[in-house]
Amino acid sequence: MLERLEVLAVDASVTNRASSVLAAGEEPLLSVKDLEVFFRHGRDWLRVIDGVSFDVAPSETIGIVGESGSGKTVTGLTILGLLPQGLARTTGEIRFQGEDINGLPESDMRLIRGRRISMIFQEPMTALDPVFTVGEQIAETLRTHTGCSPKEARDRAIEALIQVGISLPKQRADEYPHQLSGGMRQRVMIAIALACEPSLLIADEPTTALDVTIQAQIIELLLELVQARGTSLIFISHNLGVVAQCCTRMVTMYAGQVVESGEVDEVLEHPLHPYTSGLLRSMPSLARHGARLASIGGRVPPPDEMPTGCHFQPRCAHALPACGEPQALLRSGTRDVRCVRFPELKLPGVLA
Amino acid sequence: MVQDTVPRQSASREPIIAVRDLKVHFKVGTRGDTVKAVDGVSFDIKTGETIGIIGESGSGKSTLARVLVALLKPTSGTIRQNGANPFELSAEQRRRLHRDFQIIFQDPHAALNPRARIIDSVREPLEIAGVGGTKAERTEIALTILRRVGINAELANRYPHELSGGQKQRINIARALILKPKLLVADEATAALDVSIQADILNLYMDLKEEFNLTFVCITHDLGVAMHVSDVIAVMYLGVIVEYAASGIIHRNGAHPYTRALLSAEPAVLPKRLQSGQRIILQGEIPSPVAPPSGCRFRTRCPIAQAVCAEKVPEFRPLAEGHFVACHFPLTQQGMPS
Repeated sequence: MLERLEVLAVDASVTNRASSVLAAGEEPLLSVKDLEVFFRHGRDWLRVIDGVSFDVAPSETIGIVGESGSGKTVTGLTILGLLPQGLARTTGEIRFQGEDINGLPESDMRLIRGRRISMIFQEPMTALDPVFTVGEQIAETLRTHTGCSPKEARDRAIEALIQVGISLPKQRADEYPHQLSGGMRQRVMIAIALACEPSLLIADEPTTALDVTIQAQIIELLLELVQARGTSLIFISHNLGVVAQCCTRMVTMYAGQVVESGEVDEVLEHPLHPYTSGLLRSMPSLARHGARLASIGGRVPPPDEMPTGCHFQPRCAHALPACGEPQALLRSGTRDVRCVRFPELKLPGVLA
Repeated sequence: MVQDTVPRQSASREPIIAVRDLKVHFKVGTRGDTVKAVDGVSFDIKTGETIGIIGESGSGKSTLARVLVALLKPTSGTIRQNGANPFELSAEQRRRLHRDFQIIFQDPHAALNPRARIIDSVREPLEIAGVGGTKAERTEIALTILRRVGINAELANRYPHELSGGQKQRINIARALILKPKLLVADEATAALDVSIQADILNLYMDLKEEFNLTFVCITHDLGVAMHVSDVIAVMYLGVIVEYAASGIIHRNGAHPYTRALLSAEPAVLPKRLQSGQRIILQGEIPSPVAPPSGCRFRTRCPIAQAVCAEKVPEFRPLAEGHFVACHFPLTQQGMPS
């Protein structure tokens, strides 16, 4: 009986693969540089993304973390050109496979979206179309991008359902989204997103609506599939545990800015930005029963009341007059941090 | 050693809640199907203790929560609040008892009347209970409790939509505590909040628990939250409690395979070298509560299920003092089935 337990236990090394470091001369798959996004607000434009820069290497898994309102989701939508035109405008560079795709006409974006970059959303029920069967929805993606015959698209859709671990795939292909459970719907979303073998997958809180045992299944599946295909993954999540488990690098966002980025394990143990440290310390853990949780206090300022200096300054326990100046993203070895005081601060991480 | 036959930590005092063979069934559809949301649970809650009730969606946690505060009448079995069965009392007596047993819900916005000012919402329980003196005196009591949960008096005249999620949840806490209840049930009360706000609210719960001498029932799917605040944990699966023990025992020494699987599925915020090497990933999903599996309800997803698990319902039995499990093959510390 014990053996059966062990067979089902997944060796941690499978999910926790080594960091994929960019080899010398190797181009990042995606390079976001000085991205700014403005939303229309009456007659004004509000800046909601403020100078976001990060790279994703081929077959790398990076996590973007932060609270609601930090700009994680907007960053993901901007990369795919999914913000409503006229209500949002963007500046900066989104270089994907060497080409700047920021502001490409919709007709060009359609060739990229779903084929070269895909996205999975938090709520699979609203992302799936309720009036088409799941088989039709997978086939639609395939037919749009590969121009294959309806018969071939259906066969490949059933194949895709098998790959995401759905039992009775032929029968399930003819079912509608409401006939499936939350976990199965998210499997279908993954099947649609990966149907055309994109080089980059953006997963926006893909397990937040799911129970923890189903979350474990979906994460295992997602990692297995992207590793087998060499797909890069941007994992947007407020769940630091999920990011710790499946990403090699993490980017912390706060109030529309990247405030820290680096290798996941280094950031967890030695955060350089007070906000990252605060987030890590505010997580209730299985081990620290009854202890007082470190809280950050206050809340993310709304975009029209953003402080001119460090955005985190009003909530920061380490703020000094120098923090009233705009903060640049500073480089320290392989890590970036947007805090003028980082060399002198010794901030607690998850182990302290 | 004589062991308790009812899950509880000690039998020294009259428990504040005593639940015996509680069942809540709902009729659904037109074919006479019955959802067995809660299907036979028994346990005691000791005065002053914090109990965490954990489990997946569909395990019956929220239904149980509603019975604990007498918002929902059980189909069979009994609930006693401070020794009294609320469903055997007159309406007037039951309303009096309600004051001592309060509940906070998951969505802080849906729980507040959008057309009522904060101060009116917080004062309302005093008016319903007919306590607290004149309107001016009640307002004063409401402002005091608002200040205590960290809401500034100047927000008292605002409407719910003008406040953040964290602030709204503080107001719901104020509403629940204004009648000085003896027991507070929080049903996923921090699930809708960001982690830094959640930390503030959890700290507040723990402070208030001391201050008001509360018995606290924390219903949550978040194991981190449950372990953090609870003295005792009850693990629910498909309408029944499968394990009950002190939270430290559940954490380190859980005996039910489902408890182990739940804990191992929770991704730890730790560097990879410190993450546990073994993760049990359960196959499949929680079965329908209309037709739960025969025998042990967990057997369809259990990695160590045997033939007997399909035939016999495992008895919910004591394993050690204060540690109960419903499993034919409870796991010992080393991970070997006993």
